[in-house]
Amino acid sequence: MVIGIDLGTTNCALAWSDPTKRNEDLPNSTPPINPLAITQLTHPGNVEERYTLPSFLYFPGSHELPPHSIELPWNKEIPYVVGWLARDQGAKVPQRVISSAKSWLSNDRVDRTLPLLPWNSPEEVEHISPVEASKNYLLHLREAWDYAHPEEPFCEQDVVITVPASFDTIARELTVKAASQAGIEKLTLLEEPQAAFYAWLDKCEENWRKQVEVGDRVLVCDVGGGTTDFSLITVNSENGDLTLERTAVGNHILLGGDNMDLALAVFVQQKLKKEQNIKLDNWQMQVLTHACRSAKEQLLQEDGETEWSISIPGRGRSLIASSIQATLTNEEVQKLVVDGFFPICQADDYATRSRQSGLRELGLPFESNPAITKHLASFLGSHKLENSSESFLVPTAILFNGGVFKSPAIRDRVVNIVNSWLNKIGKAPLKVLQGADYDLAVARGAVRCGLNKYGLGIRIKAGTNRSYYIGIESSMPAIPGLEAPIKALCIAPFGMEEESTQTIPGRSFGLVVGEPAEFRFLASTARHKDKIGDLIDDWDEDIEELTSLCVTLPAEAGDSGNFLPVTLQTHITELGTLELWCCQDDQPKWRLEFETRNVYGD
Amino acid sequence: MVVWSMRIITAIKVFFKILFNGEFAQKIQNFLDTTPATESVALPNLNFEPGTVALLALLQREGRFIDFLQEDLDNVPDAQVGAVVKSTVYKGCRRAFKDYIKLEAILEDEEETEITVESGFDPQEIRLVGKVEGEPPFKGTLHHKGWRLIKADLPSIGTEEEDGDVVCPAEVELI
Repeated sequence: MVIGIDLGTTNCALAWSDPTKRNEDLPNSTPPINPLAITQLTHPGNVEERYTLPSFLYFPGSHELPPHSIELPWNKEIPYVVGWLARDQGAKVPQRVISSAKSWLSNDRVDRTLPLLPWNSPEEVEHISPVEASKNYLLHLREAWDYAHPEEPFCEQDVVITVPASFDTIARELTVKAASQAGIEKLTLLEEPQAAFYAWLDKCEENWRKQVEVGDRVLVCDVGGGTTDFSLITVNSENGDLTLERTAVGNHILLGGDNMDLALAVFVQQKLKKEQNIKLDNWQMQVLTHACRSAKEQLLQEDGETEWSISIPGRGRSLIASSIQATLTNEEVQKLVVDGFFPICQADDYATRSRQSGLRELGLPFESNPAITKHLASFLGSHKLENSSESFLVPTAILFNGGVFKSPAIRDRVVNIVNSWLNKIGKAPLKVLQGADYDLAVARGAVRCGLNKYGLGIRIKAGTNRSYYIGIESSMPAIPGLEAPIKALCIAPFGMEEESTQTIPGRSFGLVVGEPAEFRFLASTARHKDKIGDLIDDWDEDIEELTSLCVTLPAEAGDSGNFLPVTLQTHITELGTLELWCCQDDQPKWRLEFETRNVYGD
Repeated sequence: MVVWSMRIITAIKVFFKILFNGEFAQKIQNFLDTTPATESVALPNLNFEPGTVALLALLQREGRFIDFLQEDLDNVPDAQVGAVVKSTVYKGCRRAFKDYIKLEAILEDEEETEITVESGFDPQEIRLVGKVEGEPPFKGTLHHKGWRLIKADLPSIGTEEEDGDVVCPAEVELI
């Protein structure tokens, strides 16, 4: 079996396929892909199947749920709850719930292996690390699979887990760690926008070759509940056959549909205060946010209503008399969601990021600029092709993914804006590829990718999604108060393929045996031209520092205190993660480990 | 229940009252003749039919159905009733029904059309009204197709005991 897992920020899903169930009569056909109804607790004591597993983890105290009400059919002793019940119970008892573990996994401001979550909750609540929370979601999916398919043990299947395209190598490595702790052995990682593209391929069957042509550049625009992710997939040809390659990915942007629902809820909250002098409590705010999501979806339909009434029921027995009524109009939603998050802008109207002040609260680095279309302009602008006269990377087609794009008004807005940019430079408007099933596409696409291993379907060529660097301090006379400027030495170019190894040419480093050596580790999503060994001494914000790499040469390397000349070698693993090795006589000997501790020195 | 020692004292008192009071003795005789006594104090029935509590709990949980039926709506404007019923009661109960309960029509013909009721029909399933005379087959207008329960898969309500009576727990928020 091939199993695909969408390990989402707010929801997980699992799909699967049996590679032997291919229709033999149709050449090039792939077997059908099925979603798994995931057994989970939906209410206290109530085990049911749902197609999504909300990515929430709840630690019950001894008083708020009846005894035995969190038992699972396969585990009566489980000390925590995952899924629907965890999400709903967490809304009522917020200190005991973990949410957005995935965003924490890519938060380089904290040590992601420390028990930090639930964030800011009292000490009596058990705390676990972002890695362990992710492990628990995967473990639940594994056990739910084994419960449904006892004859096909999960551990023996090929598993594809999706990660945001913008995840750097450290966040990927932590995902691999979580998977291995959950007992997943045959693992592949896949970027979510690629998964959305695979799902589109699956939906089109063989027709996809008629919908795209050589030279097409497909912009995959993926706006989930909590993250926005852009990728570009280029259609090439090889020996007359179409090939696909993921040629660009965007930065990590913590901005998504949840922000839009919250924006609407805050608007209604203020309106209620102003017009009816009503103040809402937390519970009412949650009900309101939920109601705003439905209102948004209804009002942004084609030929949708012009007005949608929202009612917040009374919390006590007086359901109706204590209810609060409000309305949202189509115009308001247009203004707040469509204009607020997808403002009309020019191709060079980049998303400015406000400078982080020194005293910023730790926690998730939420995006400060909500204009998704400006983030898109930044993405295309920073990936313009070499030797091209255009000022931005020109896409020829677009594929949407994520619940936000269920609204045609939002899809149309994005298409119209990009078309206006294209029109200005005399290019043809975008082809809109019709995606499917915005909720389960990523899990389905992951399965479709996993089928590649069985020679089924086409593969998207990818490689590393960033170029990586280590920082080299310039030699210059010391000046008090001024740090020596650093240069960036490229140790892995963009698109370096899986299972490949390259040595950094012409450089050796003198390391002291027995003492820790530290390298600053940097990356860029935008610099595609840098080659391994290039030394960059001047860059405009397009390289960012991730963390540091550490190694201590052990005693067997030589006498303690001695300098030992080593060369560096980069290896990209089968899973697409990066390893940097110190070599002696060209033999990789000691691996440099990523420092997951807080680089900001908390 | 009256304690054992108290019952002995009462029995002795009654014994002597019957012996020495003719009117009282007649009353006791009548009481014994008409037993079993039909009037008893209405004690709460703790053995609900299986599923009754589960069904009520489900409708309350998903659509606040009990709150809705128990609320006095005389002075609440229709628009407000409509808004909450539509967004909460109707939406929630309908979802619960969709998930757990399956119904189908008893007759498949279109409503307000002429149909024939063949002989041997079940009067439980088909109710004849209007000019009911003679023997089937009958011809008439179908006003309502009827409903039949096909499946009721109620979720357990999360209490340990099978005979729980909690339809909706009280909720206390700690601050």
